[in-house]
This record gives sequence, C-alpha cells and structure tokens, in this order.
Amino acid sequence: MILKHYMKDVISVKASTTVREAASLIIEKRAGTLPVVDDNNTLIGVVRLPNLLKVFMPNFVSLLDNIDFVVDFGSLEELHFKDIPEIENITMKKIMEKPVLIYEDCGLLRAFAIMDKYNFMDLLIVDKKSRLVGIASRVDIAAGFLSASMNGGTLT
Amino acid sequence: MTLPQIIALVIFILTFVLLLTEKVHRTIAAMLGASVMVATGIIMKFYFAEDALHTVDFETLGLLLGMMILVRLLQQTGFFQYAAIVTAKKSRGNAWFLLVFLGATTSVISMFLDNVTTVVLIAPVTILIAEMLHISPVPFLMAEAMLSNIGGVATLVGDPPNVIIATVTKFTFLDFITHLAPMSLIAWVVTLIVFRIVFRKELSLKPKNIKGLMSLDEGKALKDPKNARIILIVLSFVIIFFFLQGLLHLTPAFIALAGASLALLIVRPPMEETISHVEWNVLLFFASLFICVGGLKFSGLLELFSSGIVGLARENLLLADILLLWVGAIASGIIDNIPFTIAMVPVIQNLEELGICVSSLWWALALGVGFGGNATPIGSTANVIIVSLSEKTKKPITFGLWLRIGIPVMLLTCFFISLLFIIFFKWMNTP
Repeated sequence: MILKHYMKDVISVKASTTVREAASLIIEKRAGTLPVVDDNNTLIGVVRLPNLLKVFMPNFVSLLDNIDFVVDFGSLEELHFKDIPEIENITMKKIMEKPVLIYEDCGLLRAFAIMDKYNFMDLLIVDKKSRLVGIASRVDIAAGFLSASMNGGTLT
Repeated sequence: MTLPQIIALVIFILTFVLLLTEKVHRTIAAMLGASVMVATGIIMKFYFAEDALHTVDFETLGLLLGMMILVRLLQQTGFFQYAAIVTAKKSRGNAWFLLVFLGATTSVISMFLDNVTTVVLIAPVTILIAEMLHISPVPFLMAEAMLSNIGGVATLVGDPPNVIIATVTKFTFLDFITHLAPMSLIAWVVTLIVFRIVFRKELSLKPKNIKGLMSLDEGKALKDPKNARIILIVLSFVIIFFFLQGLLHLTPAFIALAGASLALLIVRPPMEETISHVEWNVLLFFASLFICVGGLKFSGLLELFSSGIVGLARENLLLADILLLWVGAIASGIIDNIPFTIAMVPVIQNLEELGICVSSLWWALALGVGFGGNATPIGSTANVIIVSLSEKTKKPITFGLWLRIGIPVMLLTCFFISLLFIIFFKWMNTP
C-alpha cells in the first residue's frame, strides 16, 4: 500500500505567479493546494487556501484566540480585489510555505498520519529528485487504506 | 576609586550596553552581568555568593509573582476582552470617544494589574474594532501603551519601579495613591490632548460600519463568567487590603500572594499550565539586576557616588529632585526603567544615611522613570509589545512615528509634573 498507486495528476504554479492568477486557477480547477515548482519541476513551495486567503483576512483573526464574539463581520465581508491594490504585486514566492517532501513509496498509513499532524487537506508527492509527480487528497488516501485493509491485502 | 570599584563599574556598564543593544534577550544579559559580577567579586574578595543572595529583594519578587498569578487566572476568563468591548460600544463608533474610553479602561486596569498583560489582551480587540470601523488602529494602539504606562505610575502595584521603591521605603499603598495618582491624572489629560492634536484628522473621520461594532457580543467574549466574578472579588479584597496595609502592618507581597493562593484554591485551574504562564523571565531579570547592582554596592562605589552628590541634595533638594526626575525620564526612554530604578535605590538609601530627607527623591524617581518610558517605542515593555503587534497588521507603527508623538508626550508630561512638583514640594517631601 504505497502512495504511488493512489495519486492523481496535479497542476502547479511558478514562484512568479500572482495571487490573481492563482485565484483564477483555484476557481477553475477547484484546487485547494497549489504546488510551486521551478523550471525543472522541482517542488520549492506550497500555497494552501489559508495562505492565499490570509491576504483577504482581517488582521484581528490571527491576533485573537477567540473570535466567537465577533458574530457578524459586517462590511468586512464585502471585500473586492480592487480594495487591496497591493494584491497585484503579491506573488506565490511571498505567501508560499516550505513543502513537506513525501515520496512516491510512502505507505498510506504514514501518509495519513502526516496529513493529520500538519492538518493538510492534500499531500504533494515527489520523486527521489524532489520533482513533483502527483497529488493525493485526504479522501484518496483514507479510502485507499480502508479498502485495502478491508480486502485483507495490498492493492498494488 | 579602587581597582575593584573600577572593575565593578565596567561590568555594570557593559551589562547596560548589552541591554541597550538588545543583541540577546534582556534576561540573558542581566544573568550574564550578575554572574560576571559575582565571579569578579569572589576573585577580588569584595562580593560573595551569600552577599549576592541577600541583595535579591524577595518582597518585590513575591508581590510580582502574586499579581502575575491573579492576572493569569483573570486572563483565562476573557474578562479583558469583555471590558474592552463593553467600553468600546459606549463610544457608539465615535473615534475620539473610542480613544478616550479604551484609554481609560487600559489605564484603570493598569493601575492594579500588569501593564503588559493588559495591553496584550486589549490591543487585539482594538485592532478588531478599528478594522470593523474601517479606521486606522495606530492612534488607539499607541494611546493604550502610553496610557497604560501612565496608569501604572499611579499606584504601588501599577508598575515594577513602584514595587521596588515601595519595598525599600516601606511607603504604603495609600502614600503612593496620594502622591502619584494626582500626577498620573494630569499626565493622562496632557497625553490625550497631544493625541487629539496630532491625530486630529484620524480622530474626526466618520467611521463606517458602526453596526459591526455594535454587533460584537461581549457575553461570548467572557468565556468563564463564574470564575471571572470570583477572581474580581478576590482582587477587590487584595486592593482593599493594600489600602489598609499601613494600618494592618501587612506587606504588599503577603497580601498579593495570599490573594493568589485564595484564588487558586477557589478556581483550581490546571496548576502546571497556570504556573507556566507566570512571567518567570521577568522575575529572573529582576533577581539578576539586584545581584548585578549589589556588586556595585559592595565594592563601595555607590557610596562614593552618593557622597559626591550629597552636597547638591543638602543645598538644594528640589533641584536634585527635578534633576533625578529628568535623568530618570530620559534614561527610561533609552533603556528599561527597571535597571535604572534598581541602580538608583542604593544611591538614594546612602543619601538617607548621610542625613538627607529623601522622600521627595523617591517620588521624583517613580515619576521620572514612569513617564519617561513613553518617549520611545523601546521605553517600556508595553510599547515594545504594541509595536510588535502592529507589525502583524497592514499599518505597522514605525520608530519615527512613535518618536513624533512619544517625545512631545514625554516632554510635556514631565514639564507639567516638574511644575506641580515644585508647587507641591512640601507635600512631595513627606512619605
């Protein structure tokens, strides 16, 4: 039960991709995790939805540990791209995180454990030379593990 | 000067320089200074480990520890956020009222509780409210830091320098209120006037989305109303006992620690977690500074210094007071006011031994180091915290911006306070 057999093809962005371009990509492909690669397809960073939406998020959200009493964001909900002029200059390089490298031969249980620890929704999978080869979602990995366990054997 | 005195002075100055450069955490700098001072003292036979232990003022540490535990317990209930929201809503979205109300809340809480905790908890709510109203949080944040410092000057427990002065002088809580609270009130008004003038544009803007502010649910901010009530009751008792302290012959440290014990007994929080949130590094910083300054004292250098200035104090005590107030104020803008206070304590004590009536010097010291910290973003821990919080927002407070408001605030408050000091000199020279 290794990750290689459960991963899917993945779209990637470059470090120079802007927030606007990334947003279009997310809307079009319904992607929640954008791998950032260099010209050799080496994985150099990850942009997840929280990294991207942080640009739009009011500052108090990260500063307060309890926001239950903010029952209505009011006019803060009505935020447009044009309200944040600096957004055109924000590239993936600025908002991306360091990737956690997961290799193709990683076991499914370990893969799920890593997602759980880091609170990831998707895992990006690389080959031995850190080149991006695919993506697997939480559901892909969990379903793969569960069905293999239920059938009492490996699905390889 | 003898050789040990020169070396002790060099170690002391190097410690201050290390504190000033902020190359390492201030507690590490102070611990290093203390260790080197004791090591040198042992080698040169003027300061031994037992002496060093006796220089640590456990009264001061006990009072701080007791109040830190109470603050931690209160913090967990969400009371600070609750208080900030309730007062902010009273402003009904008017920016100037919002500044005054939030400033008043911060000041009043800072009079009795740790300034840093107060601003750390109120500032994020302030940023929230400013974002809701689409106004800049900068004037509000800066006002909170400065008014918290000013509120702290008013009482014995408000600010660490006052705690130190109280333990060495045995001035009571009431002495502090009667001598410093009126001065604090004047400084408070002066500061708000400066803010009104400097930020007249920001503060007269008509805020949008007042509905957003009014929809904040303070009830949901107060996560644990039952314990909040209990801790506030205990805290009220602690404050009442502070007032009766002279009458009952109790030390503030005992009152604070007894209050903390009582609150812990009733609330029964997870102890490991509660205690780990006590600011141990602040307590270590204090202890290390006491030890470092103790070396200077034991080398005989501070006596030398005191006998140098005793002439001035004897001839013109008022001039000495005003001088101390301003030197203290300027020093506090550049360096933490705690080391300056700890260094001045033995000097003033020596002057007392030389027959000077030193009460007014203690008050001048408290006022100077209390108000001086407002001048720069590094002048007090509250300022440092506010600046670093603002760096997480879209409008960080720059060093220059702080100086543009902080220096006028500091100069004007110290000017008016000096004036009052001169007028009421007779009163200031009583305990």
